[in-house]
Amino acid sequence: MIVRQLCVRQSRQLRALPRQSRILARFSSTETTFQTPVQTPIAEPGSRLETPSPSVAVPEPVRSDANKDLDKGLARKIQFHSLGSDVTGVYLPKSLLKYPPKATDVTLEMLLASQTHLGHSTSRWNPQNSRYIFGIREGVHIISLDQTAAYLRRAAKVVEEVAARGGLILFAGTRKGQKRIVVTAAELAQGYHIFERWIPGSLTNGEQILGHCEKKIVNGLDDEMKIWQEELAKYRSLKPDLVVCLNPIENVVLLHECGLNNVPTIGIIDTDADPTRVTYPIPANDDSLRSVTLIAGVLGRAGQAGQERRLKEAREGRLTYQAMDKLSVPAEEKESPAGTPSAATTEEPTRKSRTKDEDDD
Amino acid sequence: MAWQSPNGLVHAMHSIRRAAQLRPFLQRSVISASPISSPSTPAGLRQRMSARGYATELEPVAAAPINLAEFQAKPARIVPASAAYFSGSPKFIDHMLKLEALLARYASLPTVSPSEAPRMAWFKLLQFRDVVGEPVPTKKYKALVKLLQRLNRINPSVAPEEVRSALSLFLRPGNPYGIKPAPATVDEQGRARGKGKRKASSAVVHLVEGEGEVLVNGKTLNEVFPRLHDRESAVWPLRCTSRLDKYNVWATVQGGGVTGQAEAITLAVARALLVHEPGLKPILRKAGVITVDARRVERKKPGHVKARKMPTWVKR
Amino acid sequence: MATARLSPTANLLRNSRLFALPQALTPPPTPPTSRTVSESETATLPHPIRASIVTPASSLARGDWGLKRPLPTKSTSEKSSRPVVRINALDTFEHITDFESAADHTVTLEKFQELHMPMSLPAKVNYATTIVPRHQSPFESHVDNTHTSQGREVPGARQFRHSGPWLAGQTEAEFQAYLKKVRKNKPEIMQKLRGYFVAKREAEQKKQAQDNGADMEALEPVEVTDEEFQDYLKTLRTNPSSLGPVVFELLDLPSPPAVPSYRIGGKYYQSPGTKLSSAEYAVSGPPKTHPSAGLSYSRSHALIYNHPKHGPQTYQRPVEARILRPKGRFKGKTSKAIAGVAGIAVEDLNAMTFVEQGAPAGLAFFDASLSGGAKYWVTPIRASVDSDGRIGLASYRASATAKAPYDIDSQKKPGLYSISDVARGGQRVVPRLDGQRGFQADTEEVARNLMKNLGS
Repeated sequence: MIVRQLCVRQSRQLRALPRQSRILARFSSTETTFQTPVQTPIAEPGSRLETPSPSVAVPEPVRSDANKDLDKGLARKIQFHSLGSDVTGVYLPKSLLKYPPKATDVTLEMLLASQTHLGHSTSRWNPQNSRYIFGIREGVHIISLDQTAAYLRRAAKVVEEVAARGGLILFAGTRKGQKRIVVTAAELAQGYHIFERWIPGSLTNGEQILGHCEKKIVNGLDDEMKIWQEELAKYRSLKPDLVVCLNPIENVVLLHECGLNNVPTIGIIDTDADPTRVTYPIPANDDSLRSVTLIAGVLGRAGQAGQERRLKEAREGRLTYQAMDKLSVPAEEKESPAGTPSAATTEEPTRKSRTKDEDDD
Repeated sequence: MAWQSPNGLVHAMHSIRRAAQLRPFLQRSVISASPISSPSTPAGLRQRMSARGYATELEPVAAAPINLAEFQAKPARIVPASAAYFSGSPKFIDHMLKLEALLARYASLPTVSPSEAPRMAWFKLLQFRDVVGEPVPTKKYKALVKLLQRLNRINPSVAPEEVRSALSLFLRPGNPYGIKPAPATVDEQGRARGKGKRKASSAVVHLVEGEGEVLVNGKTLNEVFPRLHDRESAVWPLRCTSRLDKYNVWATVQGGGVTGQAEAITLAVARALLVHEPGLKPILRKAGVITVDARRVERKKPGHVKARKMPTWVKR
Repeated sequence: MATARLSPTANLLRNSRLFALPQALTPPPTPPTSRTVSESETATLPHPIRASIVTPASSLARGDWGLKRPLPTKSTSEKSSRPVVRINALDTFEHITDFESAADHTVTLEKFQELHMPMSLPAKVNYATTIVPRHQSPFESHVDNTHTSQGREVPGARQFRHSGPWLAGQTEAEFQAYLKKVRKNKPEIMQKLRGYFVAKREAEQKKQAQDNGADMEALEPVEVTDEEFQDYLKTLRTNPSSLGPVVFELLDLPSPPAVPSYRIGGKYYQSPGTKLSSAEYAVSGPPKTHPSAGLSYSRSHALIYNHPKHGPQTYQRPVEARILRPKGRFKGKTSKAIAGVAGIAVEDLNAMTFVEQGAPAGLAFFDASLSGGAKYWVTPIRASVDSDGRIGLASYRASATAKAPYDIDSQKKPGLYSISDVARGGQRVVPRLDGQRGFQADTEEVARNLMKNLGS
C-alpha cells in the first residue's frame, strides 16, 4: 500500500509545503525581470531618471530614535534583508512547528528525517512492541517507519472525527521542551493543553481540582452564551473526550485516570513503553523533539480539519452533536456528592440509545 | 442528557476501541467500520439527520428554511473558558503564554538597562493569587515577574501599546513609586542642608560656598577629632572630589562616639554636597560616602552575656 | 533503484545518514608490559576511532543532531562555537545518548592542514647529523599497493599491506590461533606450493635451455610427479634458510624485523627482502591505515609560498610551537626538548644536550618569567604516520630568513623593570611589570642574524 502511494504522496507533499508558494511568488513577480544584469549601463541612468525604479532593493532605513538604539547587526540586517538570493528547498526547523503537514502528506522520508524510527536501547524494550520493531542497529531498536505512518494516520483520523463532533481534545506533553509543541497543536485543533505536571486526580477528583476553573456555554458556532450562569457555576468539572499524550511513560497517572473514566487516549509509544496503556498507540521515538513536533503537528492539523468541518456544518444549520435542552441536572448531581459513578450509571442508558441513533445514521 | 459528558463521545470512542481490539492490524478498516468515522456520508443522509434533529414531527416534507438567529440562540455544549483548563491554573498559564508570545514577537526591539527602565510595582504574590484566584506557586510567579521585567526593559520610546497594556494588568493598584520627596535645594542664603546617621550619632550639616572652614558643634575639626583618621573621614566627600577649599562646613552632631560622629558627618556632608553639585553623584558613590551604613549595635538578650555571647557552660 | 524485495522502510533506512556512520575502529592496544601503565581516560587517542558529527546552526540551537534525542546545549553549543561530537552509544540503559566532543581530532586535523605538509613514508631522522631523510610520498604508484591491487605485479613494486598478519607483533595466543587457521587451509596451501614448485622448475628449465642454446619454443611444459614434490617438501623441511622465503611468499606475510646479530651464525628461517613500502614498517610493523592516513593528499613539498610584498619564499611561514618540556634530565636520562606543533608533540631537532648560544628562551630549562609559557617558531619538514597510527612530525627551528618576511619575533624575556622605579613614581596607574619593552633591540637582532646567515 505504501509502495504504491509513495511517489504520489511525495509530490503532493512537495506541492503542499509552504515554501513552494514563496518560489511561485518570486517567479511571478515582475520585479526580478527588471533587475536583469544584462541591462546596458547606458540605458540604466535614463530609466532611473524617469522612475524611482521599483527594482531598488535597499529600503531606506527608517531614521528614528528607536533605530539609533538598534543593535548594529540588526540594523544592517534590516537594511540588507531584501538583497541577495532566496535559498529554497532547505530544511528549516521552525517550519515543522509553524506549518505542520497533514496526515495525508506524511511520507516515510519525513518520518525518517524526524528520527521517529529510533527506539530505545535493546535492554529497555517492552516485548509488546515487537510488532512495531523493524530491527536492531547499534544497540537500539529501530521502529518500522510504515507502522508509524499507518498508526499516525489512524490517530489523526480519530482526532479529526472527535473534533468534528465537538469533543474536547487534550494535548499533554510534560517533558522539557515540549511546551511550544503542545501549545501549538492545541491551538490548531482548538483543544486544550498541559505542559506542566498533570495534577493527579484532575479527572477522578475533578470537582476539587478543576472546580474553580471557568466554563462557558457556547452555541453551535462556538459563540459564548451568557445564560444559566448560576447552574453553570455549580456544574461538575469537565472531562476531555480524547487525550493525546506525547510522553506516556511519565504520565502514567494521567493514562490511568483516563482508563478509569473511559476517556480514549492517543500516545507516542517508544519501544520501552507499554502500548496497552493507550487506546491508540503511535509507535515512534518520543525523545526527539523533532519527532514529537511532527506527530503533535499532524494530530493538531487533523483536529483543525475536524473543527473546520464542524463549523461549516454549523453554519449550514446542522449540529454534529445533540444540543442541550436545559441545565438542571447538575443541581441533582451536586446533591449527591458520590458524583461520577452514580451519574455515569444514570446516564448510561440514554447515552447508549443516542449512540445507537448515530449508528443508524 | 448526552451533553452532560460533553457530547457523549466517550461512549462512541469506547465502541471504536472494542472494534480496534478485534482487528488491531487493520487500522484503515477499523476507522471505516467505526461508528464515528463517516467522512463521506452521502449528502442525502445528512439532510435526513439534520431534519430529524431540528424539524418537528408536524412539519411537511420540505424542511423549513434555516433560522440562523434561532440556531445561534440555542445552547449547544459546555466548554472550558481557557485552553489551559485541565492544568488546574488556567488563568495563570494564559497570562504566561500571552506574555511569552508578546516577548517572542517583540524580542528584537531595543532595550534599555534595567536601571533606566520605568519602575513598575508588580503585584505581590499574595495579591496576584487573589486576582487570578488560583494557588500560584512562588517559583512560577517569579518566572512571570521575570518575563514582565524583560518586557518592561523594551525601550519606552518604541514600546508597543500592546505591551504597555499587557504590563499594566499586573500593576498594583495605586502608584507606590509615584510619591517622591521634593528635591532639596540650596536656600536663599546659599546653604545646603544634609543629614546623616551612623551608629548612634546623627549629624546635620550646612554647606555654603567658602574657603574650606569646618566647624563641628562650633569647634574646629582638630578640637573635636583628635585622631587624624576621623578628621579625614569627616571631610572625605570634599577631599575625594577636591572641593576641600571650595566650601565651608557647619556641622551639628549629637550622640554616639567619635568615629560614629565623624562618619555621620561624612554622610551629611556628602548629601549636602549633592544638593550643590548633583553631577558629583557617581564619584561620591564610588568613594562610598553616600552609602548609608545601617548597622546598629545589636541588643543584648536575656540569657546571653552580650548580644550573642553565652555564659560559659559548666557541667554541674 | 534498490531491489524490489526491500521494503520501503528498509530501503530508506539503508540510505539514511545515521546508518551510513562507519563502525568504530578498535582502540589502539595498550603496550604489553608488566609495568603499571597509568594513562588518562580523557587523553586524546593517537588516532580517531569514531566518526565526527556536525549539525547545521539552526538545528544546533534546538539541540537536534539527528540522533535519538536532542543533545544538551550546555555541553555542545555553549562550550564551543563549532561543536563537533562523536557518538559512543545512541541510547543506553540509563536513557542517555552517550557522546563526547570530537574537537580533539578535528581541530588537530585542521591545524595539520594549515601546515600545508605532504605526508611522507616514515623514515628514521638522524638527529645527530641533522640530515633530513628524503621525502617519499606514499601515493607513488610503486608503493601505493595492497595485497589486492594490480600494481603489485610490477617488478620491484612495494606494498603497505599484506593479507597475512605481522608475526613479530603477535602474542603467543594470537600466533597459535593463526597456526590453527593455516592448518585448516592445508590442502589449498599445498596446491599453491605445488604451483610455486612448478614455476620454479619451469624457470630452471628455461635457464638451462638458454644456457645450452636450445630452442625456447620447443620447451615442453614441466610435469611434476608426486614423488618429486615430496622430495621438494623434504628438502624444504630440512633447510630452514630456503623454507623461510617460501613460507613468507605462500602466506603473504609482511617481513619481520632484522634477525638479531647473535643468531646470524646459527640456522634460522630466512626471510625474503621486505616488500613493505617503508623500511621503518619492517621494523615496527605494517601500518594500520594507508600511510597517508588521509591527513594530506598532496604528493610533494614543491610549493612556493608567495609573500604579497617579498615575493616567492623558500620557506613557508613558520609555525609557533609551545615548549611542552624543556630539555634536561628526566628519570636519570638526558633528553631532548619536546615542543607542541599544531597539536602534535615533536622532539626538537636542534636542541642537543649541550648549551647553545641564542637558543629560544625556555628551551633549555623551565622559565617561569615567560607569560603564557615558552614558545618558539619552527619550520615543519616531514610528516608521516607510524605503524601505530600516530603522526610523526619533524621540524627545524625557524631560521631568521624564514621569519624575516613575516615580521615574526621570538619570544622575549621581560625587560629589566624594577619595582622601586614604580614605587617612587607619582603615577596612580599600576604598570605592567611583565610587559614587552621597545622594539629596537629585536629588529636589530633580526638584521644581525640575517647578516650572519647570509655570510655563512
